[in-house]
Amino acid sequence: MPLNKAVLFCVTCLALLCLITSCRKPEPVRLGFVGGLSGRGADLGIAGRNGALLAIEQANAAGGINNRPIELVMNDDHQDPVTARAAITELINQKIECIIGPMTSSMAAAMLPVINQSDSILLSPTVTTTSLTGKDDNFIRVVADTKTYAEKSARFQYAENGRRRVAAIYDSDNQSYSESWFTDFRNEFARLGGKVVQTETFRSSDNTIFTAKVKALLNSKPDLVLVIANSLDAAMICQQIRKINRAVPIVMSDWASTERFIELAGAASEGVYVTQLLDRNDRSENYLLFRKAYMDRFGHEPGFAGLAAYDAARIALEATSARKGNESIKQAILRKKQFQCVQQMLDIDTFGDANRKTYLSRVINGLYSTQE
Amino acid sequence: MPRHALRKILSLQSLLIISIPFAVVTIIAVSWLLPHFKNDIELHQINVATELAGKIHNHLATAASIAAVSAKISNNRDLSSNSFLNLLQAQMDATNTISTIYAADTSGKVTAVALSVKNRQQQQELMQIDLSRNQIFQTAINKQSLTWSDTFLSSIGGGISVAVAAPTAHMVVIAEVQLAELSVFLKQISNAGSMQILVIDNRGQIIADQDGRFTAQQLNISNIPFIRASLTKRQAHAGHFTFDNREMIGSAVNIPSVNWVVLAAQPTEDAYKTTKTTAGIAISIFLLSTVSGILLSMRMAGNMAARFGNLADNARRIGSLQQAENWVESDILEIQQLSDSLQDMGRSLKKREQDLLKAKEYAENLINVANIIIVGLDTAGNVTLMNHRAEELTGYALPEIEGKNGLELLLSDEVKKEVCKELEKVRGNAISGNYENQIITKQGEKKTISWHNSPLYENGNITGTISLGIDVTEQRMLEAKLQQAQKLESIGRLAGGVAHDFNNKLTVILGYAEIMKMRFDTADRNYHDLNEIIKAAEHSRDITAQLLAFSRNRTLCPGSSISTQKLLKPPKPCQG
Repeated sequence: MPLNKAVLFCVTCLALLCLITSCRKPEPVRLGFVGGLSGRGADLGIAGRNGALLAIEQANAAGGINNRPIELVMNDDHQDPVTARAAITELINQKIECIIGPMTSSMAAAMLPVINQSDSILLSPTVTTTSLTGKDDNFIRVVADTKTYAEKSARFQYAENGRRRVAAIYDSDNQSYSESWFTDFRNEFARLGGKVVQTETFRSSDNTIFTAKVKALLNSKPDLVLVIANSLDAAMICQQIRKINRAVPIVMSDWASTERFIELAGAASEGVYVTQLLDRNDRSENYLLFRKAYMDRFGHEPGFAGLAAYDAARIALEATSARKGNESIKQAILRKKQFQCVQQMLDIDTFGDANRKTYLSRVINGLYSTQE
Repeated sequence: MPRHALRKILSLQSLLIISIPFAVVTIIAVSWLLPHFKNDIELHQINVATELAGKIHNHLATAASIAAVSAKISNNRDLSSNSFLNLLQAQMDATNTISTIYAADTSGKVTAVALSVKNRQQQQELMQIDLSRNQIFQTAINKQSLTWSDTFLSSIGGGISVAVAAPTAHMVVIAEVQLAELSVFLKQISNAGSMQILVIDNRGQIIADQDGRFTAQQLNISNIPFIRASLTKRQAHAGHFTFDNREMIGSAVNIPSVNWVVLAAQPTEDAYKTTKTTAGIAISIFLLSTVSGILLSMRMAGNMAARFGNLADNARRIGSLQQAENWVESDILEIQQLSDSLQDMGRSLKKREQDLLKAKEYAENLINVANIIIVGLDTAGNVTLMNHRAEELTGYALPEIEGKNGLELLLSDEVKKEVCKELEKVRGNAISGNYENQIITKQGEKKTISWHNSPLYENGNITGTISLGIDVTEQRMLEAKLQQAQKLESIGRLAGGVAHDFNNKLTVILGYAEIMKMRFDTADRNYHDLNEIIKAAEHSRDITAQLLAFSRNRTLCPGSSISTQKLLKPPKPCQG
């Protein structure tokens, strides 16, 4: 073999060896997710995680962001403030700039001081407390606040159903949300001429006994029972109500309105009213495609949490790819302002609050049905 | 043609020889060993998963048998509700697999609930609740056989659970399995090191893992093809997948009794750790020996090249007639033979060189001592040779003029052309010829040289001319002088004849002038004039006498030259 060819052969071998050893996948774009994935009310967190996961899997199937794959780093907040702060700190320490979640207001309240001290943002699918409305912080959400839901619900119950006496029960563990929701409902209901005749609170745990509190509610002779709780507790409360009173109308906050509520509450779920961000009657191609993809992937309905988390993840991905120069994701979201979500065009204001529409649904024959 | 150092060639050859087995080993490792390793890992994982599936089946069988036994007991119509409840509670207390047992009538109303001690206060609250929309209840009623659920949010336990339902004609007994306990059980039985053990329900949702990280989180991984295949085909399948943002390799084995799947998986890097370590050690040893081999072969190649280099240096020295030295002794036969041959050649050449030197010295001496000019010119006219005589004559030392154009330096422009023609003729016709021309010395003197020009041969080719010259400047000058003298002699003879005749005439003139003078008084003007004529005639007679004397000597003596001024000096003007 001539010397030049020999040298060429050796150099080629060396180059191939270098190429093989240096072949590395591009660094992934990492998004975080934090939510309650275990314990009571885990269905909300699980649906949220699934929605975000679906958006990221679809984005990866479409080539990722600038050919970089996207990773979703998931942490369970166990619906406990201390764990939640640790979970968010862990994600921040991993230099994850955008964290989808949390799913409940109390967890958002626990995480807010931590997230505001960092360069990361929380992009929440479902946190609706009014205590976070109009604040320039590292918290952005893709839903309207409780005021929108509660007032709509109050107006409907007062005007359409003629309810005047409300007995309310809410979960004080998720105080930030529950009290916000209850106050907004009560104020609107009172403004219209209605009255809250009884209020009960409870702390959600495996040992929570609802019988006595339900009895107290029903003893006040309400013409409407308002339940502000997670799906499991709401289902148990409804079951206890129906043991005693088969007729009194029940209205719930959006928190409980997961698909599991109907399964858990059984027949007691029938006729229950709920305000939701999800338009169950939507037959748009966007929604049908999303619902089919979600059901094919996870084998159950996405529900409002799955839809909102999917929207949040899509917004995070869109903002990440639309960033200019050293712009942060928060800046990109606030600059872009408008995002096409599955069911509607969403506007996010300078404080990171969204103007998502709300719908009033009712459980009929074991299914949510949008009424208004 | 490019030339390469022997050391490089030998080193590259060694590298190639070493690279070939390396490439062969690499190809074999990639194409044959790696798939084998992969198969071994998958087989090991399948074995682990199969063993675990058996243990999980046994673990779940406890719950299933409790549910079945409880359902059977519920058929006993003589049993009071309290006794039934107590029996349920006793069943549950006997195992820590189950967290809750409840019995519901065919409409879904809970008629009996057995709870763990910590949840027992909820017993009353759970009575009479409606389970009609609970999936496992519906499935059990419809199937009328022992049914395992997927994971679901339990209204009893307050979290994600799995349950087994045993239906009878008028009752469904449901036993919920504590997933946390299932995780503990998995941890106890797995002992799998870095292996991740996941129990997956028939919808692809993770029920539990041995660390509890994913337990009851309903993470659906049915999108992983081999998991889906394992769930649908109920066979063991293996493959690579990404889980928890890590690349993993795993094997899924079906648990037939519940149609769940046990996935035994490892991060790819952990799975291949032993292989990688072994390969790393083998590669390290191989590389170490390869590098050592390369270094050794490079050193040997260097030594070999140095020996050849030494031989080449000495050959070069021999070639340039220098003293070859530092001959290296070699234990390689061929090199030593080459060395000996070169040394012989060196000695032979040395002797020839000495002979040649002698001959050269002799020839140079001849050239230098020759009293003729010897100048060598190449075809362009550049000086290649000059002997001492030529140096003396031209005023140029050989080192000063060697390589320079001799024609330009030594010839005037008018001569140069003719000389060039002459030299070309000599070279062109390959004949010798004589030629004479003037040269200009370094001091600017003109010298006339008579040349004998001959062509100069080297290897049969004419490479220039060699010219042998004699300085004929003086000879030519003397010849000119002689010519002049001969001319003067002729003139002298002529002048002598003329003078003789002229003298005769002057004698007549003088005679008659003396006679006439006698006719006049001394005061007479004519007397005076005649005196002047006589003086002029006498003067002319002196000149003529001299001419006659010159013509009679017939030799020209520079010291006795005739002054033409004196000869031609006019007579003094007449007084008066």
